[in-house]
Amino acid sequence: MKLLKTPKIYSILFILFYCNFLIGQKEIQTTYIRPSIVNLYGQSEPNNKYNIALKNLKKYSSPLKRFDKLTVDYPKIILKNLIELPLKPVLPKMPIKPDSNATKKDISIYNEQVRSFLKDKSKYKSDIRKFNTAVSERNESQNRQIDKFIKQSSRDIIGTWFSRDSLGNMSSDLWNERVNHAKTDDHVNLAKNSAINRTTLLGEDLIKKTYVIIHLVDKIYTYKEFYDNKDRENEISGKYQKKKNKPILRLKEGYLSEYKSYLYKLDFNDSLLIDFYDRYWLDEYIKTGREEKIADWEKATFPINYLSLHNFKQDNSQLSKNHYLKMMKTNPAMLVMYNKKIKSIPPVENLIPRIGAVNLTSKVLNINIKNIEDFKLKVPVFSAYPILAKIGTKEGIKKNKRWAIYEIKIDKNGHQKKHKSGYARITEIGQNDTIASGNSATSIFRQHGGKRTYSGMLLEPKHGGFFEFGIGNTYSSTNKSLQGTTFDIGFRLFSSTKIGYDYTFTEFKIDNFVGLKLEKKLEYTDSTNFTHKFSDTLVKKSSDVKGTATSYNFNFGKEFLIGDRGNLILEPRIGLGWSKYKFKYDNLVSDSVENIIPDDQIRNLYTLKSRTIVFSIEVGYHLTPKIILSLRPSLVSRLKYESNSQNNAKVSILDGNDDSSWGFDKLNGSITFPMFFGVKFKL
Amino acid sequence: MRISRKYYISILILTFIICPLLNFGQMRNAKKKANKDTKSWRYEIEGVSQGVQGTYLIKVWSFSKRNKVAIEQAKKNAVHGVIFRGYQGSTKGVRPQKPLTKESNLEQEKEMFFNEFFADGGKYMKFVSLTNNGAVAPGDRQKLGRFLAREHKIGIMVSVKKDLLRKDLEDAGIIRGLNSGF
Repeated sequence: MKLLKTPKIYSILFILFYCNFLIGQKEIQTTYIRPSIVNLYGQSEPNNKYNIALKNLKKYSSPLKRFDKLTVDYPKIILKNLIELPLKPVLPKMPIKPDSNATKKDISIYNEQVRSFLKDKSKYKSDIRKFNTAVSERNESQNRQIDKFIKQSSRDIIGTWFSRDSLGNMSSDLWNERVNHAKTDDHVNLAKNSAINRTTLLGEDLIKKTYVIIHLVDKIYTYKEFYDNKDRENEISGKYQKKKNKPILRLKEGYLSEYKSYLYKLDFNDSLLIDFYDRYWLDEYIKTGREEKIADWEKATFPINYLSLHNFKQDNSQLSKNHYLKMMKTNPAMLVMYNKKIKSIPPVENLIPRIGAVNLTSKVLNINIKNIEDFKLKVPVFSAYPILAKIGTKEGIKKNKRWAIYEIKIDKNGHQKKHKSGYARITEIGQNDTIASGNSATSIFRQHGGKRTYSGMLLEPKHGGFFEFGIGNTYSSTNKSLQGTTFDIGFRLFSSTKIGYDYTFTEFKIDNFVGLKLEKKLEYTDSTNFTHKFSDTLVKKSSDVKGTATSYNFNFGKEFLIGDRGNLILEPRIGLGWSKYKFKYDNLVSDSVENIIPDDQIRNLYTLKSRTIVFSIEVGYHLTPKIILSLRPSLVSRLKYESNSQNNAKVSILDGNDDSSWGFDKLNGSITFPMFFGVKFKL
Repeated sequence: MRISRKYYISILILTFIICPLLNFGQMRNAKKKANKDTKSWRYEIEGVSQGVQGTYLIKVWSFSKRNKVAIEQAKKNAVHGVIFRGYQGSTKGVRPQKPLTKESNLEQEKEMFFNEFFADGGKYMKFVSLTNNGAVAPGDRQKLGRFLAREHKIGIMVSVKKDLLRKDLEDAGIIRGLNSGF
């Protein structure tokens, strides 16, 4: 722990983190080969509800479009000898210590409770240890059985890839079918110019990218059991509390189910393939040595590696009668409707057929889509400009999503390193669902900043870029109250429309300030309903006055990218907001006013506020794909100023030497042309 | 230090003019440099697969940033490679191929012929075609070096009609026929 407090460790961690970016890989994966997903199933108990859940899992589990499903006919696993878990122990809350007015009896009861609590605590410690041991033993037993099951199934997965039949004969029918579906134009064009068609070699790559997901129905329990357990926990927890625990209000009825999904990868390689052909391959033309090969096959297993475990829960419930009874109490006007609802509540058993109706496969794949390199879409730029890439509906890509453009650099050690050169968004999706012919449809991308893109550069999804943050300065010569440090945030709604928020603030100091005056006499009614009337002007004459001028607006804009690379941005915006002067009134306010009117009321009097309508056009230039140099001329229409004072006493400014440049002479409405200059960051 | 408004505005204008102009620097001399590389025949060649009857299917690595330039240079380089260099085999089962000529100084001896042969739009174009419409395959565009020494190595797959090329060179008397020695 001491080490963590020293700055050295952070320096070392930073250097290691930085080095990680400097070190290249020997070869970067530049092609997307469709992974095949095998779903296998298991259950922790052999009862009917578990069977239904498993049946539904099978029905609903399908992979995302970028993956291929490989259906393997393999029986489900029913886990055996799993430990029945005891109820989770709960530690009661500490007894409440009596206060100084407590009687001797109270103190003796408290002491008795403390003794009892300490006994409970000691028992809890031992029980929770037993409970945790039981949980880990149960998990270990589950993992062991699943691991054994998956190893046994590996043979059938390979058998499915080679269409093995009951006689042991194999064929490359499925292999060819999958190759036809997965091949790209590059494969086809190469085949057209080659004497030997090597597209079938793609099949080897497809097998190497076989992933297996085992979905296990782990627990199914009713909402009644769930609420009963909550009541038990609350009762134990409040054992030494004075307040009696009420049973939890049972607003739902139905079923809760828990699932575990194990992700594995088949570890198949070239040497295993050669070994496979040598030891196990059989077809109808092989007449000798069949029995030995069949016997070998029965004992065969193939390496398969565990990757991750994911837990999921499904809530299969409906609102109970108790819920509607509660609603009747809070909203009696709807009594008739709630009565009708109660009468129409279907029997809770009707929910059973929906247990397990969830696509866990897509959930597992979505979780791992950024972690597993094989799952990441990647495609080379086919041509530019417009940027075209041979990817589309077959991979399930979506319009407007952001992709990063990479070029591959070779470092001095000959290692490859990806270098991001820009971003692009999909504007048109190619319909490439058919088998690649060498001239497949392409998707069109619009570059959003960065360096020039060339054919052969790599495109990878890099979702984001929805949030922008800008900082800079706004200048306004005719009205300095609209200038100052500016923060600008924006959210991208679709491909080019944005909503944003601008905030500008500056401090003002005016020499020889003459003063503020009231437009009508100030009156203040205090808490005793007495109305004070002030005859004086609101402020004393002061040599100078200080304060803060702020302006902010919520805006809506549309981005137009100019040029192939989209480096130049034009973004017209319209916004609605407020502009404020906040005076530092400490030295200005008269004693009579200060003594009677509360501070917050005076502050309101000294805050002048006006609505604004802002039209602006941002001209931006991408310095890097994530950083934009921004210049934004605006037209700000400022309406008449108001004050938030209690009796609507309005103030205006007396003549002064420096008033006009701060816009005090335009308090009844004005038009100003401020200009923002700064940098924006796309996050 | 207080910056005057005029000074500030001129900085703004200059920034917006200079930033886009900086990128034009990349365009200069691309073609010129590639031509220079081609003149010194700076390229790498490798077999991709066994080509259809009478052809070689090869990948030529040329050095240029621009695709169009790289494609044109790749075609010249491919034909040059087939005549003078040949290529190594690969682990993918591609056999090595010897060059069409073994005479090391043939290029200098027949300089006039080859200058014309490899001129822009020259006869070499008859014997070479792009296999993938000139698209660069994934991973075949690589950036080398740093800062001023930076350049791009681009691999383009081409098909060279080696039988036709041999016959043409034999007819022109540039190389000897396969059976001329017997």
